[in-house]
Parts: sequence; C-alpha cells; structure tokens
Amino acid sequence: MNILQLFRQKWKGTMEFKQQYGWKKTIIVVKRTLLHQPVNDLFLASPPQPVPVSHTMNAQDLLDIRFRFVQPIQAIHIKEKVQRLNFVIDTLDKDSILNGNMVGVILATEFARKNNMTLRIITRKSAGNPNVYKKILEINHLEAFNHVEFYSDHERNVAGETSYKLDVSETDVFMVNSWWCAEAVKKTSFRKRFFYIVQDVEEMSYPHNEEGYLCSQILSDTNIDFIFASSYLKDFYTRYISDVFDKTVALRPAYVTDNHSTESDSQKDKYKLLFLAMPDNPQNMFYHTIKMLDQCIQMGVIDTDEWEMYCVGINVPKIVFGEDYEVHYVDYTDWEQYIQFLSQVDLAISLKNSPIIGYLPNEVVSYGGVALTNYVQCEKELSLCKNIILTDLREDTFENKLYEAIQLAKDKEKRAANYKQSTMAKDWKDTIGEILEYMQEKL
Amino acid sequence: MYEIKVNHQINNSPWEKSLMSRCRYLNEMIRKGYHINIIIYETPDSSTFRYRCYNIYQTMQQSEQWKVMYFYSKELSTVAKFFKYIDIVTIARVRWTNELQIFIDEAKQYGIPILFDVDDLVYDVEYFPLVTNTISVDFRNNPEFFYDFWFAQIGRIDLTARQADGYVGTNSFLCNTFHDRFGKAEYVIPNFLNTEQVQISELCVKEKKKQTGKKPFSLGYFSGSPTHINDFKTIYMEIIQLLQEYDDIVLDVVGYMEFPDEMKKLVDAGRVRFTNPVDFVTLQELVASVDVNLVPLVVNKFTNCKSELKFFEAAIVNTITCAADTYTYAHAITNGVNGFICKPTEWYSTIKKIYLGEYNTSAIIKNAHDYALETYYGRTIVNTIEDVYNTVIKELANG
Repeated sequence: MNILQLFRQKWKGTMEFKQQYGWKKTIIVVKRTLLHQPVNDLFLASPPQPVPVSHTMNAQDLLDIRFRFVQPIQAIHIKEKVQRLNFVIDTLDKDSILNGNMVGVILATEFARKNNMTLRIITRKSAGNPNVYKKILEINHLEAFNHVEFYSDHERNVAGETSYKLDVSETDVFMVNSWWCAEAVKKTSFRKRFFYIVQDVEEMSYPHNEEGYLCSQILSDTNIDFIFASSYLKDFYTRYISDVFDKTVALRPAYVTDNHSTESDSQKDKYKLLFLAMPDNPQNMFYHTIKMLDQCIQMGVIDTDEWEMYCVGINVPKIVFGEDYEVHYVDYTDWEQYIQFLSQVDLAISLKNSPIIGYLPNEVVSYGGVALTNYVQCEKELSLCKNIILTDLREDTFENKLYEAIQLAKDKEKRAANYKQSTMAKDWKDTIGEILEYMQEKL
Repeated sequence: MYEIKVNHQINNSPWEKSLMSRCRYLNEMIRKGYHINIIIYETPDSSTFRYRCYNIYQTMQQSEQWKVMYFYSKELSTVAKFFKYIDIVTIARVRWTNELQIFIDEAKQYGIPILFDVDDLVYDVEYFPLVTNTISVDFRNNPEFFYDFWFAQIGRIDLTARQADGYVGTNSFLCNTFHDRFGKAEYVIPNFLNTEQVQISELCVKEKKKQTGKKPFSLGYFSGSPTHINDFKTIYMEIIQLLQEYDDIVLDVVGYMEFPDEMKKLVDAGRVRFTNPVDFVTLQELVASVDVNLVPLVVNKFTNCKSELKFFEAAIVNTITCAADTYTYAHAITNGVNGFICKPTEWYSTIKKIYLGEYNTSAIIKNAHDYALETYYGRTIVNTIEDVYNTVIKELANG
C-alpha cells in the first residue's frame, strides 16, 4: 500500500469516526493516537454503539459494546471480613416507584437489618439516589435504616473499566433483581452463591435470541438462590419451566396505604381511569392497550363525560383518543403527589404479556380502586380482592370486562365491601419473615 | 455565607528555618537539660509535615520536660552528630533509603528508641488495593508505571516502618493496625492546631461576628483534588437535590476536581464555585466564609485511619461541620451537639435543616469552638505528647 492509499484509508476511518462522535472528540482521539496515548477514558458511560461493518474489531471489544449490561463489576479483593449485603440493580431513582426495584430494596434492607449487615446498593446505569432509598422505606412504613452505602459503576468505559472499583471480601453477600445483573455478579462475587429476586417470566421478554439464551442460562444456574416476587410467578416457573423451583420461595408483597378511595373522594366531578404506559418495556402491552381504549371510547363503553383518563409511564408519546380526547399524564416523580393520586383512582388498566399481575393493579386496588388486567397462563380468578377483574386480550372479552369493571368502579358500596374482604397484605412484617428465614438458611 | 478577609502578618510557612538555626536551638535545649526528640521528614510541606513535625515542635516549646526539632532526609549526617544527646528519634512517614537505614542502625547502637509516625494507612503493602482504589489511582493508563510508582511509595514506607521500636498514630484505629502488623508498642498523638491557625482564626471569628450570614447559603468542600473524587461522590446526589430545591444554596470548592456529569448543569450555572488551593493560613479565611463545612468520605479501613482535622479547623472559625461516619469523626463529633455525623441518606436532610434554621446553630458553633480549643490546642496536647514520650523512654529505651 502506497502512502496515498494509506492516507485515504486513514482519512476515511477518521471521517466515519467524526460522523459518530463529532469534530471535537475526533481531534482529541487523533492527537492521542499520534502520541500513542490511550483513548479509553474518552468513552465513559457511552451507550452501546452499532459497530460499523467496515471496521475490524477485537472480539472482546465487540462483546463489550454489545453486552455492556452484563459486564462484571470491577472489583478489588480485600482481606477484611465484612458483614455486607450487596444489592445490584440498574438504577435507584425516582422511577423506582414504577418498577420492581422497590420490592427488592425492601427485602434487601430487612435482610441486612435482621443480620446486622451493611447494605450496599450497587447501581449500574446511573448513580443511586439516597433520598429515593429513604423514601421507599418511608412510604412502606418501615423503620429508617442507616447502615446503607451506595456504589455505582455507571461511568465505566467501553471495556467496563473504572478507576474506583468495588471492594469485595469473601464474606460479601450479593443479591440481584435481574438476570443481567446476575450475570455480572457471577464474575464479581467471591461467594459462588447469591440471591436473585425473579420479578417476571424473564424469558418471555425475548425472542429466541442471545439475550434469551443468557437469560435461560442464569435461570438454570444451580448456584443461584431464587426468590420469586409472587406466588403466581413461582407457580408458573414450577409448572411450566422446572419443578426445581418448587423448592424456592415466593414473596407476598405488602401494599401499604394510608387512605383509600372509597372514603376520600366522594366530592370529585369525574371518575378517574388510569392506565399503565410503558412502550419501552416489552412485557407491557402498550399499543394493545391504547388500541382497545380508543375502540372502547368510540363505542361508548367509556363515557368521557363521566371519566377522565390518565396514564403513567416512561417515554410515553402524547395520546389523543377518538378525535380530540386528550389523555392526562401523571407525574410520578413527586412520590407524595403520585400516591395521593393513586388513592383517587377509580379504575386502573394494565395489560401485560406476562402471567404476572403487575404492581399497578394491586396498588390501585389496595387504595380501594378497581383494576382490570389480563391473564396469560395464570389463574383466571384472583383470590386477593374481588376488585381485581381479569380479562383476556380478545376484543369482545376486553370490552365486556371493561364494562363490568366500570360498573363496579361506580358502585361505591360494592367496591367498599370487596375492599374490606381483601386478603392483600398491608404490612411487610406480615409477609417478609418466611423469605428472610429462607435467605438465612442459604447464607 | 460571610465575607472574611482579614489583615494579618501571620507567616504561612513558619517552619522555614535554616539547618544552622535548628541545630542551634537543639544545642541550646540539650545544654538546658531537656529530653530531646528528633523528628525526621523527607522535605517540608503544608500537610503531613506541618501536622506531624512542625506542630509538635511548636507546641513542645511549652513543655518543661521535652523539646523537639525536625530535620529532613538530606540532613541525616548532621543529625547523627547529636545521637549521644538524643532520647528519641521519630521517623515520620519517610520512604526507605540506604542512608536512612544507616542512620537508624547508628541510632540503635546508641540505644535510642526509634518511633515511626504516620497519619494515614500508607505503610503496609497489604492495603495497597484499598488505598489506591480509595484515592482513585487510575491504573488504566500506563498500568506498569502506576503499579510500580505506588507500590514503591508504600513499600518503601513499609520498610522504614519495620525498623521502628514503636509506632505513633493519630488515632486508636490507626494504632490498632500497627499492633496487628508489628505487634510492638503503639501510641496516639492526634493531629492538632498550631498557633498560626489559632491566631488567624481568632481574627476570622472577630470579623465573622460583625456580620450576619448573607445569601447565598454556602456549602464548603475543602478537599478539591482528583484523589478525593470518590469521597465527594458519596454525597453528590444529595447535594444536587439540595441545590435543585433551593436556588440560594451554592457549593464552594477549594481545589479542583472533575465532577460527575449529573453536576455539570450546576457547575455551568455558577452554583458550584471553585477557588484555587491556598496556604493553610488563608484556608482558615475560606473555611470561615462558608455556612457548612462538608467532610464526605468513603467509609473503609483506610479512611477510618484518617484524622479529624477538617472538623477542628472549621470549629475554630465558627463553621459547622457535617462529616462522614468514620472512626475519628464519630469520636470527635457528638451529633447535633458540636457538629453533625451524616451517613448516606442523612446529608440532604441534615443540611436542609441547618439551612432552614431548624437547629440551634449558635450553640453548636460554640460547643465546637470550645471543644476544638480544649482538645486540639495548648496544654492538653503538650500533656499527651509528654506522656507518650515518657512512656517510650520507660518502655523502649535500652541505652
């Protein structure tokens, strides 16, 4: 290759880089390359990038880009024997009220408290928010816990490297709430065994792809002690995946409430309908939900003179039903206000492609509202509370069940009677003991 | 915040004395019949040297039994001439050299007890991973160089430490590590205030009392250096929330550090303000000017060994301290009485209450001021050091 060809090749590569990262970064990278200086630190916290096909890449670099979320947490080993529980999650911030992190945080806290351990919350996508942690305990009526620390490696570079590593001793215990954090912890923890709170039928989130394979490997790992987030989930795994899960435990989440809608909102002008909108979550049937609601409004199943419609979620586009009926968006970042709002909801709708009833229907029902949700391969009746109505996803069933749910929501007496007969747990102390004992046995 | 700028003639490098003048002082004290401790340090600086050498020399001028003088590594041959008159030799965190080894061996021939003095857990290679990780040494770029550099630093101090007959640390936690490692005698001499600090602080307090705190409400962080970024990160989410919630709170940083991305907006908006590092006398003016002195630390074995100096230096300029729950700060600060100990999740609520005036801050300021002067200055310190030296002579001297 002559000099001209070499120059052309380098120039082409530089221009491709510039297209992706801009001039400023390109100039710095060129300068450092000429001076034989490393450039890794320039790419802190960058999201996975598609790899241009024209590039030749080292296999490990390819894996680091594609599977950033399962990169091990870089650690140093210390000889000191510490009594510490490490709870590894993606994020702990204001959106934790909408995902399963809250349950994991509560379980981790109560386990650490019971065993005089320090709790270290490790977040991998953004820094953990101590105030959110405090708030989770507060709204669940749990005593404050001060032996808590936070660590985050969200600023790690493309290769997963960070200058501040996690100090790990052979007595550090780990707990995770996702299969990808489990994969990361396998290569981080000294102890082979660790806990995994399974929040959903994880495999159903993936087609038969690479994530699906990794996920199934984790769920068949005999070094992991599984804790299921509900008995329905455990039953599903035992029945459809493997009877080894019969030996695990299932959590019975408590729904702690200060007030409820059958008492507090007799003055309001319109009924409130809330639906869950998580377009980025593969298990949330966001588009089916809006399709069905649009149809039900046009058919008059939902009377918009009587009902105000709200949605809560992340990355939700602005939605107009029918010709001009605008949906209100609920701000979940102020937790006090959000909880106050939940206590005023008359009817919640959550459709999921999962055998598991999500948290939102249970939360709304725990405040005295009615919830309509779908079943996938799970029980067709829920014994927890008659204010939860199950449907399937077919149009006619959904329309009929929605009509039924609307009638129930408007029937305050029946709603209140169902609420009184509900067997939903209202206090974590009543539900968590068995799990803590199970975890203790596995230590 | 306060505007504190005082006129003074206080020397900001009072330790700068010629070898001749230090020898003269030593000679004079020997002739007067005092017991003598010589402290060896590499070269003078405003951090460890000031606390562990100059301050001890200065305060022991009040002693009627003991006098102290400091010398540097390049002066060992001169110091050796005094061996026959010296009662103790203290090596303060000096990296090992052949010359130092010869110096120590010769002192031992005179039967002089050798003390090793340190204020950080930097003398034991076993803690290499913990120390370098906590201070954020980045091994990613040129790892061989950085491993060799840091290993040599700690390893050389380690070899010096092994020669000692006894150990002096700034607190019991650090001293316990000496015990675990060497199984020899260990003694506590805390870090403390020197006269220059007390003088400038008195002027600052006088000035401060003339003023009422103005807006913005200032949080001060006085360890702005890349090695403290992990310490700061233990609180930054709570600080961000405070600054977002209250427009008239600012963060004043002395030194420089690259803040996490989440803080960039606040930096750009001028809500985080930077001042270049200053000398230890001017630093007291800056500490006096803020409303709250922040001392966040990653809590681990390394930071538990660190001294509580940021508390007492703020206390004598009437500034409230919120400190991490490390061994020394938790021992020095009685929560809510002379300052605040904050664990993760407590920084936001504690500072918010201070800001909203929900604490009796004037009582806390007074308690801290009185406590600092009683505990970290004057006769209390002289007595502590005399006790240590007398015990050393009793337990270790064999000449």
